[in-house]
Amino acid sequence: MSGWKGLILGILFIALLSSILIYAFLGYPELGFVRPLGEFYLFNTFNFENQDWWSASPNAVTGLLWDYRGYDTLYETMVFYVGIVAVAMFFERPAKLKKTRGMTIIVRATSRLVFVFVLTSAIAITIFSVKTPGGGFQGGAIMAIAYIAILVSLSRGFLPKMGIDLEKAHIAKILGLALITVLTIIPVLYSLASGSLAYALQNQPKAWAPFGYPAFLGLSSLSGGLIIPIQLGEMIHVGMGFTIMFLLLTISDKEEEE
Amino acid sequence: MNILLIHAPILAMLLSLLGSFLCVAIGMFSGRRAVELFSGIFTTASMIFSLLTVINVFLIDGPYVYYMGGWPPPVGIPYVIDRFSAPMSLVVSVIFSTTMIYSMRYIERDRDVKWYYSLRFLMQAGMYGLLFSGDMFHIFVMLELMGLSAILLVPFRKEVKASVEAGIKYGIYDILAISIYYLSTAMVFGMFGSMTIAEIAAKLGGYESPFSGGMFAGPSALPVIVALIVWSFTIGSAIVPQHFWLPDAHSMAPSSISAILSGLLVQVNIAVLARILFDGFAAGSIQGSALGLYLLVILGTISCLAGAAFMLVQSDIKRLIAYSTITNLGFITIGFGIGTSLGASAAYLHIINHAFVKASLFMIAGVFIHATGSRDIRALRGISKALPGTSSLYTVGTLAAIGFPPLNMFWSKLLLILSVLSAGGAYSYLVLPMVVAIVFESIAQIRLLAIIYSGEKRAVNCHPSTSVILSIGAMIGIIIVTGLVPNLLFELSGLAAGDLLNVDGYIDLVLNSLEYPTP
Amino acid sequence: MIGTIGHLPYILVAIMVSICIYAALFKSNLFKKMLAIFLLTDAVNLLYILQGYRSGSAIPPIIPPGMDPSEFASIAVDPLAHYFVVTAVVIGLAEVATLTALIIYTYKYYGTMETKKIKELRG
Repeated sequence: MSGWKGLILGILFIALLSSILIYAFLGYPELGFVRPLGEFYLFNTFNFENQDWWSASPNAVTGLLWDYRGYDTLYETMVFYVGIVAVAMFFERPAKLKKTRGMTIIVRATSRLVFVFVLTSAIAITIFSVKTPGGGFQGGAIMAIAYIAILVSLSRGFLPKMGIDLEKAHIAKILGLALITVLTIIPVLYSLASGSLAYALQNQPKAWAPFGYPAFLGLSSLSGGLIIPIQLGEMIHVGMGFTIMFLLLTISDKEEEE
Repeated sequence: MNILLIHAPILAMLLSLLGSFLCVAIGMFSGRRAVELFSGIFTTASMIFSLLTVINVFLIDGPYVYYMGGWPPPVGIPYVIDRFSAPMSLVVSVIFSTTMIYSMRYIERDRDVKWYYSLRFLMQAGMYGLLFSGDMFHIFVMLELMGLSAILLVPFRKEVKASVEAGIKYGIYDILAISIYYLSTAMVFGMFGSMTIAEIAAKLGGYESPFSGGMFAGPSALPVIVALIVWSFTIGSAIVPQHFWLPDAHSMAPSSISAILSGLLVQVNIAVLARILFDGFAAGSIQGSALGLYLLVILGTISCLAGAAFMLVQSDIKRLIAYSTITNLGFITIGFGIGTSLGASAAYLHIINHAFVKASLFMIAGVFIHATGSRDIRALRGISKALPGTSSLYTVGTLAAIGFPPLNMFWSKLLLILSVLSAGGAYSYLVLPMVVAIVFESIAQIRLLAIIYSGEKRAVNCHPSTSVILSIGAMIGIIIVTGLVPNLLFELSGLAAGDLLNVDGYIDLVLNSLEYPTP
Repeated sequence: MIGTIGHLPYILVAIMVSICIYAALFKSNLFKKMLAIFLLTDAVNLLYILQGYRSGSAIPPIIPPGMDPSEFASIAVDPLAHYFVVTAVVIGLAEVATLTALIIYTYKYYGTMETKKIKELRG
């Protein structure tokens, strides 16, 4: 397709498809109301009166993430794992991580200082995701920024000195995943051992399935049962995954040849 | 109710999930043999759990729903383990186990096998999830899981230029298909306010859910949503005219992966489409969603004719088998598209038979390619004298593929033609393109057989090892044995089609089988 | 109901989706195709968020301490729509990683991202 012909055909295609979609949307209600299922989650997520239906998380989105629709999120984590595998499979090479001087002393000193703050905020965002916006993925992304800042300002060779290289990052990532999977399987194992019914990734006890993680982990301000530990697992997985991706993608072809 | 049997399908899935990252950990600390042993154990264990599931569903408890996290739908995600999904999950497990044995020797010369086994596990988990899932959004997540791992397995031999090209082609179109599906889930959310497939069907029949209310949009959107879903799944399962990625991807992937892609992945897509159309949008009874079935019949007819015609001009053995997949996918979509109980059962039976036949053909093609060092059909001249055992296995597989009685695909093709004839109306004329496609396919396959059996004995690079022959032999054994018991096959597929087409039964199973206090 | 201002966002989403599908199908540059697919996902994310929006004085779906759940349920936005978008964004990242890795390799082998020039295989 060249020139005018292509342009006209393209406009025709877009006009046809969008008019079909607009035709479909004409039957839709006006925006600005919440559907009953959403209100159900809002009403029940932190409702002490009716604990059969609660997720013990004041943040309804976090409750949905790892309780009501936790099985979705489990496999969403695995999809992200496939993304890391993609980079690891295509770009893993025997290049040595070389230590260079990096940027100026000011940048280097600052990034070492900032590293601690960024890591702390990552953990805080993950743990307090039951009460504030946040979550394992967001925390992990921030955690990766801490490492990427070191990688950029102090050179790749500095990472092994901090106790992290490719292999260790892989192991940490796998440990995070293992934590998530173990927390998923525990209700099933409990059910097999006790003979009563409990379902995979069950969080709070219900009238029809009496298994539950403790809702409050000893602290009255942090609730959510399995949500906080499982989010920590996801944080490690995502943070290490991003670190692996950036570490591998920043090794250029030139370095490989050397 | 035995607790272990209830958890069996989920345990099979979670074992695949565990295997996917544990085999990477093992691969980092010890050699490839440890990874293979570990993967073999986990694959076999998940096969045993699938077998338990089938036994439970057919003989002990009957169909049931597994409530993820203990939440009844539409609050949580239901896993519907019924007579439609359970046998297919067993087929998935069996083919993954046999290709596991096959891959031990087949990818011996490749590096980084840990990623190979890891992605294989994830693809397996994705297939289980797709077959069992009763939730539209969960299907989206599982499509991504299955699709992305398949996209990465196609260019697993990344040193080969053409395999990377096949991978990117497959990647772009598969992810586009999944994104279109994602658009349709957003429209379903707006219209029904809930993602549970059973609730969609119930609400179309006027049901008011205690959790998610009734419908929120007028019926004008229904045909558009159905068309979008059919569009996305027909890209994903390579129905003509969106088939162009399939011959490239299936022929450039390692043969152990081609067997899975061609035997399972595309058919799982069709099975999920059938589940959404029949049980979700009640395509048999609701006027607006019947459009999906008409589309399936039209596209299926084009697909079987085009696939068979392209088979005649292929010179690459794996491309020839890949085009045969397109033809058979056409038959399957026609079977589901005519919408009768006989058609659905014929299509279901064809999915299962085709999975075994196509997987074994690709596995043997891999042996031939290793032995001759070439993918060209002409290089196979005289190979029957050099590799007599493998060639005779290939002969049985080819005869099954063209529907030679009494091998298994003869029965399903017979059932398909009978179902088209008995559907009445204009559908009876579909028998004409189907017979033409069968004839074309037979010509192409027999031409290949003739080449294999002609000529003098040729030199070969290597002979297949015992484990490879055993894994192929197991598949051919299944083909022969299932062909000998057609009554059992007809009964099984009839039950599966019954569960698929009985919309009221499905709604009742998913929404009403758990006792819970009203919120 | 037809033609009211409440429908305008739907129409914008429809046009955005159509442009993205067109670009993903007919643009010949692999990188542009990839961008179009991700924009398509974002358009759908927008559709989800719009459908979960509550007009008036809406608050985020986090229950403030001491608020009655029934009052909260009547003023907060839809958490389900937000949940779908959070999940889809993570999945989108995995797609970016996969396709980018493949495109970099394709570029390495063929020296181009034009699909018309990459034709060792014939579909």
